[in-house]
Amino acid sequence: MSMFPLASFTAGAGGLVSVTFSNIPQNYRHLELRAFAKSNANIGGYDQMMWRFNNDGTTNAYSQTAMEGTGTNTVSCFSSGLAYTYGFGGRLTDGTQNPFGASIITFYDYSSTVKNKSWISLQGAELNGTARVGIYSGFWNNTSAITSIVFQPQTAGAFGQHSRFDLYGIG
Amino acid sequence: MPITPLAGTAAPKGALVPIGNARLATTTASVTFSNIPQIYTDLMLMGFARSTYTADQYDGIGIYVNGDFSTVQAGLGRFYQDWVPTGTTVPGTFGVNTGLVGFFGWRLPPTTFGNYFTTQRYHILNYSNTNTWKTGISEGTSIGEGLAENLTVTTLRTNTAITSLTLQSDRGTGVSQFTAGTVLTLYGVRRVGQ
Repeated sequence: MSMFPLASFTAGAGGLVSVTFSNIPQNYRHLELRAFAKSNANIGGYDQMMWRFNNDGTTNAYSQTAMEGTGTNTVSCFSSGLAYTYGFGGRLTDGTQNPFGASIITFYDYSSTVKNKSWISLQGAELNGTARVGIYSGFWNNTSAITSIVFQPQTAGAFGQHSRFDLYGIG
Repeated sequence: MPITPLAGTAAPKGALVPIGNARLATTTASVTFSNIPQIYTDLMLMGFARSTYTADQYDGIGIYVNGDFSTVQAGLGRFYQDWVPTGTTVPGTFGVNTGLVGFFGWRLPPTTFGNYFTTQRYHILNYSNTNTWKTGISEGTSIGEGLAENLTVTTLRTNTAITSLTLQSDRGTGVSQFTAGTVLTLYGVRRVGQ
């Protein structure tokens, strides 16, 4: 496997309201995102990272599933009919906490124009003595090639300082 | 179907850079990757390992940072979530420990279980950053008390950059060690501009 860095973002003191990877080159087999991120808001719990392909906010565009350990339990979830894909697969930590969530997401055959797209990820985070870690997957009910991906926190206003997003092409 | 390499032009700069590799020819108490270059963003450790442990249980591996083997350290703490669906027990087991000394590693099979090695891919994010705590996240197999998938997340509660990693049994090297045939490889993951 060969992996090549395509683009990077790092949140400064003011945070990042969203992160958009646009004009994604179409000459790789797959994409991988590596994120080290937290929200910048005190929401008293975990926040979640949402993302959208090609700015597609259509209802029913996305579905997703998860197997996750919560520290005191294990859960599995499924959601469909979404206008974003998010959540189980994008744990962030509270803005008052120092831990950062880790997300490694692989988007398969992203440049195909004849297949609906899917992704799979390994993600986890600590929050004030609790933690969540799991494997997650999801679908975009669209055959278009992925040319852009936008990430944003579900609840908080922005990604917190030092949050990091790196996109890679996998040859 | 034969698979032939793609014809390449000028090779672009890859993101994964090998830093160190240990292929053990004999039983070995611990493996240390030292003087880790500080020019990458993340580290990725890939392991294929087995333990000399003789009890019919997993042997846990600790990943100790910067030569720190203390059991209690003021200002430091680690946290892991370990989720192990076993294939026969649903939804599996889990654990939480806020008193870890290093990153929580993976579970090695004991020698009593047969000639099995377990795999693990361990990511340590932001290892060279001196402004943030560090997060480790991993996935791999476990064999010893069943066959299992093993997921962990660990927070290393320090802003200090990671310059060395030592892998050894968290039962102590006097209790168990890596067997011959164990392979441990450390990569640097670079981002744009590195």
